[in-house]
Amino acid sequence: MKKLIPLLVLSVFLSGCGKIELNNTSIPLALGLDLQNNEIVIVAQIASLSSPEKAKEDTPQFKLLTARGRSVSEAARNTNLYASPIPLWSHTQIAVLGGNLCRQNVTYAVDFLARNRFVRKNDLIVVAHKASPEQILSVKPYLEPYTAIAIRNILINQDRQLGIYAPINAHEFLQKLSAPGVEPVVPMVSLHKDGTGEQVLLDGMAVFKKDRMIGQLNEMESRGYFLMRPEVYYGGLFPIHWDKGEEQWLTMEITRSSATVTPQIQQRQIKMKIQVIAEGNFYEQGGRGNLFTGDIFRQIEEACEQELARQLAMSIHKAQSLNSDIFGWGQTISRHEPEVWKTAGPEWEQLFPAIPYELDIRFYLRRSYETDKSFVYR
Amino acid sequence: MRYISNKGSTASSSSPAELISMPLSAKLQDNLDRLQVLFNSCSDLVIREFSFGEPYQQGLLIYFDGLTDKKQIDSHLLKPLLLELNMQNNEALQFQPDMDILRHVQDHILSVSDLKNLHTLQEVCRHITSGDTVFLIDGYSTGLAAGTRSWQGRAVQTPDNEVTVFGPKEGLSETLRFNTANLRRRLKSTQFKINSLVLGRISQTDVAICYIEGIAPPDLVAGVKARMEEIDIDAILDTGCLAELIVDHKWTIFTQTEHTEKPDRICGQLLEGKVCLMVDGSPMALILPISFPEYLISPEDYYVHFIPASLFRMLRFISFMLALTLPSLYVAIISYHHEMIPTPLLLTIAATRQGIPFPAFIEALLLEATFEMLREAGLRLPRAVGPAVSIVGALIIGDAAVRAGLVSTPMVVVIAFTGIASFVSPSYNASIIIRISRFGFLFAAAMLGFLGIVIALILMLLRMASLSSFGLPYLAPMAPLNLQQMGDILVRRPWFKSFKRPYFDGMQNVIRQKNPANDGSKII
Repeated sequence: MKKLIPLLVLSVFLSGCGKIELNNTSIPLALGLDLQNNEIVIVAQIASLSSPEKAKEDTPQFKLLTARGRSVSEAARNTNLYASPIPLWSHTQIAVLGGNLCRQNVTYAVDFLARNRFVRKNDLIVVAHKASPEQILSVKPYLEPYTAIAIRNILINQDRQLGIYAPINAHEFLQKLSAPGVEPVVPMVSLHKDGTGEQVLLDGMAVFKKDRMIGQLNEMESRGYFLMRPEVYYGGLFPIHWDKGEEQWLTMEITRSSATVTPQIQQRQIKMKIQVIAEGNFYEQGGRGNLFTGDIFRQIEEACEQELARQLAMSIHKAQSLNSDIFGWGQTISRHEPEVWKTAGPEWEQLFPAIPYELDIRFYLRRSYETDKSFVYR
Repeated sequence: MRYISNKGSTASSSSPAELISMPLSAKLQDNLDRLQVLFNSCSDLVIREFSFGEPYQQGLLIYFDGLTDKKQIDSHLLKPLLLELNMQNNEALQFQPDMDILRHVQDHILSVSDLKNLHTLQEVCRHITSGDTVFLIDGYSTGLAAGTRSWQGRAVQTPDNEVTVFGPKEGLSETLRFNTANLRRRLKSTQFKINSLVLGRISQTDVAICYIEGIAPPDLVAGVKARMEEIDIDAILDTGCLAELIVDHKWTIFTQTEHTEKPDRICGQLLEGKVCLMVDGSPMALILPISFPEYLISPEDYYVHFIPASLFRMLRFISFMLALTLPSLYVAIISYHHEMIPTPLLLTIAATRQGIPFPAFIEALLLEATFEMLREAGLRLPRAVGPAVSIVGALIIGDAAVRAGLVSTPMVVVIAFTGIASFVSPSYNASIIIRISRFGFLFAAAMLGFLGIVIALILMLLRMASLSSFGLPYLAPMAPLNLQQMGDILVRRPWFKSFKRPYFDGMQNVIRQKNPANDGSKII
């Protein structure tokens, strides 16, 4: 024991396994992955550490670190050829997949995302659209100091406020890639120019099939996809065109919505029954007159149901035309009708584009969040 | 040569050690010679020889100047003997031939209440040094000790180290008798016992063992007494020395006794079957046995309403854990487990750590050591210098070191917070344990991260679980678990629900209060 004590004390000063002093590290907030000339390109958005007082408004508070390699891990380690600090990959907030990578073969990145212990499975995944990940990540966002955090917050907040694009994290992404009978859909980020320069913009969703991206959903199709997610969700805003009486746009808010998809087998024919039960509020009207009367109430509900049905039909149509089972119908059938799936599964590729469906949508208008009666001109 | 030439003389033939064990001689001169040898070059000793009565009797008063009340000696010893005895017209008071003058003086003349008969030189010495006045009469081998003890002592004051907002404010002082009286005033029962013992070959210190008969385990009282009787040491100057001599486990930082200056706290503990030791000359009383969780209990808890008291107590347990582990947790997270920090916080911490030349562990160690030094310095500083050290500590350590980039601000915050948390514990003993163990945790964290902290925690708990304080397990009632008593550890049991005393082995009566729901219970 007496010999052991000095050894123990001395061992304090040895850097043990896994010991990394914070001073030797950098904090990457976003991980961009792309494919160029058959080489993996990795872009890390590294937070440049400066105390808040010293930071100036217009200078970006991050630096981009780009490295290439034959694999993602090699590229990630290759960053040390350019910069000394060891990146703490576990602090990445989002992963930006490049268009090239997605269109050619996403497999290059999947193993890294799936099995590297430093990758958090709750990182949100986005696809760079009409720009490279590097271009996306070099944008200085409106208010946040870091693009990565900006994109993450945009994804999370629009989910509640607008309900257009369904965010997807690495775990779900990988799961949907690997599971049969379901394909992932990933929000896309593009650049748009405004007065102050380039900004990031959520712009459609990338539809995957097997190991690559095969198409995209536009805003309406994305809304339909958003509505048909199996989990109950809260929040979302949609306008409906009102043509009974004064023509105007009504804005409705969805407060709660849940979709149940059940397969129905009739004479060896599969038919998907989609039931959406949504509750919502009246939020804004574009014209004059009191729309909040008993008769019109039901009419508004019907108009909402039609609008939701339109969105759903659009997204189903798009998915079927792309032949990518983004809704996970295949999985639904295998759960509800395992026997049917045994025969249908192998030929799902051929079956899916022609599967008939039936929409049953109920929209309940609960209340208005207005503080007063409708505005009256005199 | 001198001793050889004096051979034959009874007084100086023997060494002081032999002299002191001699009985008193009937010859006054012999006694005087012997005492003069014993108290050779004791300039504070007063020897007053005089003759009194009719026919004259040789008398001798011996006392220590400064320990006695001279007015009392003059008016109750000398005045009756020298003045009043001669002025007596009452024949009955006059000395008769063949009468027992000693008995006569004791019964009829000396107006002192506390009067004892002495037979040996040892007793004489003991009483003189304690402040009594010894009266010897020629022809009698029995002396009289008059209780004239009186000296300047510290008055009853509020204890500086155990400040409470509610509850009694009195503190113990250095005089044992005042202290026992203070306890007696609070426990006016015949069951409250105070046993006395004299410890220390030179100091001859009075030690009191206080307990409540019928509650305290008799084995415990006997055991403590036996251990104290075994002590053979030159002096006991404070209860701290005594504590170290009698505890079960001596080679450990986990102290197994509690020190307190508050008589109300002592009484509370006595009522729970504990034993209290007090040493003359020390304002600190020793309470034993004590288990570790009790260190986090303040006497004030029992005077405040039970809900806030329980919350305060939880706060104390939380700050205990924080004080123990916060710096090590911080070091472990910074050096090993970066994933654990939320990203925005990591960004802030990393920004402040830029350019810091030391690893987090060294930084923490430096700051901890500095804090301990400041504390130790502040403890003993003259009041006039105190603020200077605070300013230097606050400015140089807190501000300049950060500005110079030697330490990072979060580390200063962590250490400062830990410092505050370590003083939340009401017991100084506990805060010492915490502060020492903290360094162990820091080393463990620097070596192995969280794994190290967990290993250190396990080792600490194992050590604590292996200890016992006079038979009481050190972690009781947590280990071994006693749910009934846990009701008064993490929270404070309301008084209206306190029917039983916290029980430990051998305790005699556990009923504290009559339980209305259970009328058969016996009540003391």
